[in-house]
Amino acid sequence: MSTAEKFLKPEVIRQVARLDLRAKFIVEGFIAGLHASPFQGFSVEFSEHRKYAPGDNISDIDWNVFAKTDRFYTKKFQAETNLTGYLVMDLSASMGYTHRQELTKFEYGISLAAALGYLMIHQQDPVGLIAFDSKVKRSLAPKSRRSQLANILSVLSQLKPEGVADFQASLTQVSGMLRHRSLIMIFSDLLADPEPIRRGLHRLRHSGHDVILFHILDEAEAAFPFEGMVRLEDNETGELIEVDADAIKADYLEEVESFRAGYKADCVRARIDYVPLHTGMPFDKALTSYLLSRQARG
Amino acid sequence: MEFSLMHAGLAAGAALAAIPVILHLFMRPTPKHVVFPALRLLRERQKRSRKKMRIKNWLLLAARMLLLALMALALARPRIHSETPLGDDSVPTALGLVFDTSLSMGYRQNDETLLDQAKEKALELVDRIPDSSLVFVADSASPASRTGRSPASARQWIKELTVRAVNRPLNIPMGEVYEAVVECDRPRREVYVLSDLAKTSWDLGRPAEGLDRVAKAAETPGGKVATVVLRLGPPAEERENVSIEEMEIPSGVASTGEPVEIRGLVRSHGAKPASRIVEFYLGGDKRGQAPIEIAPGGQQEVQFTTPSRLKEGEVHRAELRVTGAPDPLAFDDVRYLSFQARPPRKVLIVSDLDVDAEFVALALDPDPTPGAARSFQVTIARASELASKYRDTLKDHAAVFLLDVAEPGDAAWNLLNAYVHEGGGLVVGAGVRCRPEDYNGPIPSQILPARLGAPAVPDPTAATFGKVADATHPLFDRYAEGIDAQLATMPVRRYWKVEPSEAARALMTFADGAPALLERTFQGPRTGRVLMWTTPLARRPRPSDPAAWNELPSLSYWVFPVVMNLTVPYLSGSTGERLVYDAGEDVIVPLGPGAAATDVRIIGPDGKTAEAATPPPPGEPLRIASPQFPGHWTVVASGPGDAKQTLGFSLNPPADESRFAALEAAELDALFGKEGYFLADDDRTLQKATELIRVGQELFPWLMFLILILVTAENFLANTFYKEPTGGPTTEPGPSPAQAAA
Repeated sequence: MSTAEKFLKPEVIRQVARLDLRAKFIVEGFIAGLHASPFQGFSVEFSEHRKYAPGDNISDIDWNVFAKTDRFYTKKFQAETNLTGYLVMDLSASMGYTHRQELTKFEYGISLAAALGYLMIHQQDPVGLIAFDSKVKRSLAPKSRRSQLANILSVLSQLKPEGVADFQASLTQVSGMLRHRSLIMIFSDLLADPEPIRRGLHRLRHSGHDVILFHILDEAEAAFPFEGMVRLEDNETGELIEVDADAIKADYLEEVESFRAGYKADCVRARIDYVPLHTGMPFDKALTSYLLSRQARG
Repeated sequence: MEFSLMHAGLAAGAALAAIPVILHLFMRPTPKHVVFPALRLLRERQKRSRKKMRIKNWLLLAARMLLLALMALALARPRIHSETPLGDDSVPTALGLVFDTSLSMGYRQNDETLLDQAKEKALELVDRIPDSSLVFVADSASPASRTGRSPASARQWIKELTVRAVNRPLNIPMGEVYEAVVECDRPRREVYVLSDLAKTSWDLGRPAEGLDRVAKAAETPGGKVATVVLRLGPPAEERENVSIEEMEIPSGVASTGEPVEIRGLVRSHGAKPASRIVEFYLGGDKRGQAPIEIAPGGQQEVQFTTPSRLKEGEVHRAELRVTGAPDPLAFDDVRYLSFQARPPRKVLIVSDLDVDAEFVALALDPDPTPGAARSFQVTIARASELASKYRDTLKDHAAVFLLDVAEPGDAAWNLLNAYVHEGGGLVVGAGVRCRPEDYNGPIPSQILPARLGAPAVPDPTAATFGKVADATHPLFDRYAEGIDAQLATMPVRRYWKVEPSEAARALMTFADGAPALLERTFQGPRTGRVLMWTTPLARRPRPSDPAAWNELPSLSYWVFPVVMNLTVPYLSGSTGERLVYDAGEDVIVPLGPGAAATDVRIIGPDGKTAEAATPPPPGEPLRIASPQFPGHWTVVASGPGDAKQTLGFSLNPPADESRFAALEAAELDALFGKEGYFLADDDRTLQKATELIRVGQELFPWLMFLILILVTAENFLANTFYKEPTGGPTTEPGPSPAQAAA
């Protein structure tokens, strides 16, 4: 394993304090592991108009097209030759959880987002950032300038996962904010009612965006390493449950599997890329998912 | 069924079953607090799982609690069928002991009698009870006292027990002991029956007495009475015994001046052939012996003859003894006979023709040589002589035969009428000469068993004698089957059709069912009897002879002389003068004519024990109530003055005691009730029965077995519930099932 590749490991990248370096190391480590360059032909022209979807700004409707076709299309103000990416961060409190006190889901997500941002900026692709909990809290408009990465990293480093997520409202809001067809990369543990999440994701897809859903769980949430009687607390709701960890472990793991499988099936139906992760997993899997998604699009 | 605990205190250990609950409630570890955002995933799943876990946990908890409780219960040694609160020997006991003292208990096994064995067992039982116990003892021979004895007194009583010849059915002493035990206040109540369980020792027609009292007592707490039947001796098929079953004078009479033939019947009851010597004793002196070989289960007759000059009027004592090999059962190896020698009985035969009398005369007195020994002194007379010549002496005759007399006449009939009513015996043989109008007259009708009708010729297909109507009649009882066989071949050409009187009964028939021999009896101081043959007791050489009515007297048949020889003693009543009795029977000893005796002494078989008896009124016989000891008894009647009369009789043990037949299980059930007793055969089964009663059926082994199953089940449950998920992502090893179970 090369020096660069080792940074794909969460436990290693954790030791890198600076987010920009983290992003750099992850990407370089990732690239060092690839045999063929995936950086070709990413820029794609895409249509001037797209179908109107509820939530789009009415003022963007191209009335001329409507006059000709009797259908609603929104018009685009500038042609883009590059892919616009949005890094959408879940700021719910559950994202701040780490059982082993190493890398929280949020930190893992940030590292991943930083790496992807890094990658996209280097590709001259504009990258924006949206962070939400119950609603969109912070956002950066997509830009492809070098300084954009610094801005993104700066914002990311300031974000704190503390709120309670409202996926439906937030993703609907996100959908409304995006005027062009974009690649939306969501980093979340999805620990909320599944139905609003699904609706939010579908909303993005209906708006014509490509979506990659990075489903990040903590290593403990994925493996349930507890023993004996444990009192579990939901740090978002404060709810407590006392269980016999040994007895319930198998059932829980089944449930996690079913939880992931549910989202996966849903995402497949909606043509969303679903990437199940946990904080113990190397970053390359996430990056590969991104690249594969890009290739499929190209 | 009762349930009790040998160590009841230890059963409190069952409370240990609460330990798992206490551990669950109080020793529960404080759960680790863990922040876990994925609680949502857990919530629904956990609801379902908790339900399952709860059920699983309860199953496991119940298994562990049951395990502890069962262990405590097993240590407390639970038992069922227990009669008493405690199983040790210190419990004061009401101990009932019922001994079978019948003669079969004298059977020797391993150099001791079964009664000796019974005594040993009983002494062991008595030794095992505390001194505060009460013992109620009874044997089959004598009524029991209802007062309880101390163990020491009971030991003495038991040691003095002997086999007795006369016994009551054991049903009775059972009742006596049950009654006493039920009323006793000792907490433990047990009744032991010590017997060889011979059928002869029980009255199988009814249950043991006192069972109703026992059943009633069982309804009260601690009132239950346990019954143990201890069977002694070898099984019936392993027993060996040779016995003398019969000893008699076949002719029934011992006549003065002639030797007396004495017959004995020896039987082997074992499975092996027996080789023995039978010795004959007369007056205490050995007079002969005969070796015998008897097949297994077979019998053999022996015959001995006394000297011819036996003293007249004296009671002679004879014995048969079986020797030659050790015999386990001694009481039936000897048999006793007493008899008196009498002068020959006078018999008068009346006929019109000599030929009609000669067959009977020859049968009764075959050797007419003067001075020869004979049983009967036969005189032949004509009917006309009867009234004139024998008016005063007829009563001296033991029997009168009236054979084919045409017309005896009123004078003769009057004389015979008086003779019969005074206890005389008359035999009428009706033949061709008889005139019905004379025989059916008013005077003969008073004594004859039937009115003569007309001579009848039987159907050629049934022209023989028929069969004996009453096989138990003294004339036929000894040879009934043989007689029947001969009668069936004995031709009959003619007989008188008769009209039997109401007082008569037929003793023998022809093949066609018509009566051949009828009897009529006349009650009085002495019983008078008339036997009437409806065909003559004489034959003719030529069948064509009108008087040739049958072949009964033919030399080809032994029936005629036998029946004739039995007829005279029967008619004279001497067959009813008994000098031989079974032990326990009431004995009647005629003291003879003359003044009443002033002193009567009864001397037992040992010659030493003498008992004074109340002299009976003049003319009355002496009645001795159920003497018991087998052997020769002597009765000496003295007074008045120097007059002294020595009489005697013999007692024999009941022959049934020799023929051992063991009680069947069903018969025991009928005696005590199906669940009402424990049967023990030896020390081991006796100990087991005693333990069952005192300790009960221990459940310990079953409980341990149950515990084993439970431990397995608990392990299985624990392993199932805490099984590691296979292939799941784990970061640390989970707890082992054993840790989890703790």
